[in-house]
Amino acid sequence: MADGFWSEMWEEWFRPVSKDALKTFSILAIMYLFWEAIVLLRLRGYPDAHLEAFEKTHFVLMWVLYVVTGGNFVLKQVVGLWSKNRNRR
Amino acid sequence: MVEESQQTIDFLSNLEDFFLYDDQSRWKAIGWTIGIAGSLGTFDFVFLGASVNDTTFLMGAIVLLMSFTWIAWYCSFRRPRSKEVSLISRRSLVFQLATFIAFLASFRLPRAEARTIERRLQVVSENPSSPQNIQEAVRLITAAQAGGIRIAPSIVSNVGKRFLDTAENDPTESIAWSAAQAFVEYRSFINVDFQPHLGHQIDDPELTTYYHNQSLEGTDFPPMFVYGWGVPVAEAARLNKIGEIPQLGRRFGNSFIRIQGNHKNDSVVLDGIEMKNVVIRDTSVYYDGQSVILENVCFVNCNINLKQSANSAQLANALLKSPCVSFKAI
Repeated sequence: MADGFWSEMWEEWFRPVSKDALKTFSILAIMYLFWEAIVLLRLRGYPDAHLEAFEKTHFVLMWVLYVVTGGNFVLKQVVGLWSKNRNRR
Repeated sequence: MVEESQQTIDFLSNLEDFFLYDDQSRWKAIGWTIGIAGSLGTFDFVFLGASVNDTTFLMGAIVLLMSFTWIAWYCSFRRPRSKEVSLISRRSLVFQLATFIAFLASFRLPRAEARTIERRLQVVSENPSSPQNIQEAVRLITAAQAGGIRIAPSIVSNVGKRFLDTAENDPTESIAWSAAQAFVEYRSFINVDFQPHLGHQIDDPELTTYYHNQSLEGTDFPPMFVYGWGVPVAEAARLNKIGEIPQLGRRFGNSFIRIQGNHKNDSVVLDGIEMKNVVIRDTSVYYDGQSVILENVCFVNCNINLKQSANSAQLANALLKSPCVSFKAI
């Protein structure tokens, strides 16, 4: 019973989601590095106007990233559940 | 009719394929969506100077449009692929591993940056009357605040005190005063880690005691929340004009008051006020150096504006040392 549950979890949820999770994490990690780069540039006296432009770019990219990757996870689950239900019928 | 049904079945199978099996196509769509929405959003926000709301609306519209178009195109024209969950490719694995290592390594960066700033602050504070050193100190502390870098509180206190002493020795020295203020503000910024135990929040402050709100003209007093009840008046939180006895006829009061701003159009003016057991968060605080009585008042992430005076210097000194201050100027 338990084996069936865990193998189902692995095959139907964890395995498909883990690849997406890794890719999403990689992109977010790059954005974190981008933010640290902005901080380093500020400490080195880089002009404020340029830094502000970088910060705005960071904000925009983070916003799009959250929306798109979040939407991907949600839709993947929704379509997964719908598909399971459809195949049963 | 049969043909239509087959089309629908193909469409739905492709939809299933897109979200559950064809990672390559889905991530291609995600990549293009991020690229195009991000580029147009950046252009709108950075180069055209659009507001945050307009930019997010634009990006939201682009993301929705691209997503629907891509999915509709894929489901209508692509042929279903084999329904197998493929393993991660070697190139993808190497890239993700490299990103993970870089990410882990970058965790050391904020502390390294903080140490660099600490060293430079100590160097510039050796001659706190030099205009160049003052400017450099302000630049460093402002950069640290903007970047969220945590400098050791002891260094903030020591270096800030040196600029404060310079300003006190020469009252016309407004640059040193502004530097000292920058350090006080930074100290308030790093107080965000400080979480005093306030107790249970009470919904209606009027039930237990009376409080006096005082803000700068043209701004609002921030929302106020009270905590704890049944505290004897002598130990209870206070927020009133000096000389007022707000708890007259009452035996009990609240244990704590939290004033919660949002760094917009709100402020708290300290002049002429008596406060006890108060936490002021995320708001602008003004003090012109007049009478004030503060007892266990905590300033967390506040924009602190102190007019140069002997009383203000003493308050600034107290603020540099601790998140919560007890200070009296009559």
